[in-house]
Amino acid sequence: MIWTIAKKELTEIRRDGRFLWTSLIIVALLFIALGVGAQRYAADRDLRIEASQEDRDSWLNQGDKGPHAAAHYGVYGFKPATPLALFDPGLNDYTGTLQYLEAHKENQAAFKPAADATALARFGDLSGAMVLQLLVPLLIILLCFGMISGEREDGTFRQLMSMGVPRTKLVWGKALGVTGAIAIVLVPGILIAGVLAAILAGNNDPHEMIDFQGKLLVVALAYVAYFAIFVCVALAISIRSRSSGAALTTLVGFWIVTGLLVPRIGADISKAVYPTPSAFEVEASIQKGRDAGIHAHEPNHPNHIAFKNKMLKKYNVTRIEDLPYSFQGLALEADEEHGFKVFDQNYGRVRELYAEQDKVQQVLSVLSPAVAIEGLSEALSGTDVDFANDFSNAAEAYRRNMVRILNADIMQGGKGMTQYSAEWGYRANKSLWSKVPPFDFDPPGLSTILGRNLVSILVLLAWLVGSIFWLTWSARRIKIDM
Amino acid sequence: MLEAVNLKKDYGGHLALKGLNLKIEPGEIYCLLGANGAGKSTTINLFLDFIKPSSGMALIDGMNVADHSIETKKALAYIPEIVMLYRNLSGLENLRYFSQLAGHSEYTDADLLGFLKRAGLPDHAPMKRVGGYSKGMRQKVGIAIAIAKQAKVLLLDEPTSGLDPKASNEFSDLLVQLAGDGVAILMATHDLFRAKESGTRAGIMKHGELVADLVTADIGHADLEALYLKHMHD
Repeated sequence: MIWTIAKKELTEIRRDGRFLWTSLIIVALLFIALGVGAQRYAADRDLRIEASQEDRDSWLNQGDKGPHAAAHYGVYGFKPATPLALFDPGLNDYTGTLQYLEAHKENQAAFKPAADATALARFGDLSGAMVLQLLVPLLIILLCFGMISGEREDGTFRQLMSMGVPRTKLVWGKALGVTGAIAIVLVPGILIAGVLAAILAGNNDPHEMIDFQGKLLVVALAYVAYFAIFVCVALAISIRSRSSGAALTTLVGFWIVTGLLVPRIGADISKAVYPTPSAFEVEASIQKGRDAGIHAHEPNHPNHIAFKNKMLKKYNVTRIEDLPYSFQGLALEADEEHGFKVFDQNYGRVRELYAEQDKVQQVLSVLSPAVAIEGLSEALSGTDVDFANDFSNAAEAYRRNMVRILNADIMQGGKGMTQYSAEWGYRANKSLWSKVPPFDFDPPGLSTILGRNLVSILVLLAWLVGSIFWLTWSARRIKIDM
Repeated sequence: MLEAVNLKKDYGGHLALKGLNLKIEPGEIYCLLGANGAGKSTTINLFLDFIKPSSGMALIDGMNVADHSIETKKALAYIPEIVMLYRNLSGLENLRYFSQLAGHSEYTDADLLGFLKRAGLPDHAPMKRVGGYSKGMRQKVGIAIAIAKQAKVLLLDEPTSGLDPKASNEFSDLLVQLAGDGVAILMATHDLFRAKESGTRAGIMKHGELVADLVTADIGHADLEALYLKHMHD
């Protein structure tokens, strides 16, 4: 009986010109979004590969120079992207795409496309994720709003009830019919657009493909759950509304609040609950912390002199030339290690606040399934804050390793030299530069992502189960108009 | 086949039905007469289990409809004042849909077209969308649904009001044919002429009570009208 009802709904939907045009527009937008996304992804990737090879080459071929000069020369860490980023660019435009890795300083990822964009960009780029998160629910609403209220208005509901059709079967048949209509449009659309996008995007290196199939599957399941929530809510509201017009008004209101309002207010709420210090404050605090360090480049600074005396005492010598390690190397290394602590303290606090803000946002998805799917989709596409943090952490760990390798070389190579000649006289060459491995970053795997987004997953499931129960409960109570 | 036992319906102090007792056997066409608000539609809605009785029972084939809402509907077909169908589907598609919902998926298109033909739908109509159907054509699809369902009970709520005399006559002929096949028919109507012509029994309702219950063969046209008006004037 459910199949009979679903089939009849499909026939009616198919004959309705509005559905045909709306769905064609949505599929066209999906094609455009994925096509543009794929091209941009491929262009960014080619640029990234080229730039990182160039950067590596100039690092290796920087010539003979002091290791600390090389540390100041530095390298760039380039943030990779997983192929799903072409579907959901998420926060990519805001998080920075490369990080300059040099001596003394933990830099933040820079080159944010959003910084170069005009105010128009705030309206949001068209992306595949946006089409699925906002436009498909609108299509579902258009299909569903009159499904029950319309039968009541047209009197066909009485006819159905006189046939002995159980109310819940009627409603599930309709839900199935809508699902079928959406699937007929979206499944081929997504498959074709996806294959075209994959061809456009070209081959990917294995690092970017970590758990790709699994991520794709979970993304697909999450969107299916998201659409199912909208089908259930739309049908339940169609049942509970006095007229189809009232149902449509309520549903558009629901769409605006959950799809547009809550996600935007959510960011502000989380900022209000866990305010982050300004960049200026953080910078000042880091400056203050670093000031307590050795001041490796300032031989007359009291901290520098105190460190020198400590080293002379420790190794029981009177001249720095008699130390078992180059004093210059020791000072630089001690200064760096002090700096690491300062950076960890200050940026660590900021990152904790960001993580807390993220938790608030995840909890806010209780109010809106759109918030849950946004977070989940970005996370699986590798375009969320966590991914950017993972990259920054990996880049910073790489920087520390690089600095340590270079300082260790000074400590050995500059042994017996005065501080001045260790800094300016000692030279290292390509064999040292190649001891610093090329920067490599593995995006987080599926289980890491799922663990981090457990709240979003649970809230999405709760919405799904809740809306199914609400629909069943409402279906049992459909009134027969007299 | 159809039985009301002390059937009462109380709408918050307003007694719409004051203990109806009625029994309709297979092959009978029982016409319920009476002014608007006399309780005719309430009676039919109670048999459909669209409303619950305050007390008493409505039985179809011996089953209380309030307890066997879905099962009792297998045996019945309902034709309201205007048979409501899906505008974007053709007459044939509407019939196929309702037949399938009634559990008859076995019919071929030829079977279904046969039912529509038997119900008197013009040959050009079944493939056209119902949106363009006249009331008479809709009522005929309603009859075809009842035939296809092999209903043993037919509940009709003023099915001929607004039909032209020819259409009304054709409709009544169909009811007589169905009664001949052993269907028990309960019809609320204002049409005294049709009640006498095609009904086997007639009941006059007033303020929720059955004030007269007679066999139409025993009474003339004029007498039925006189009896009806007499009750209305009281």
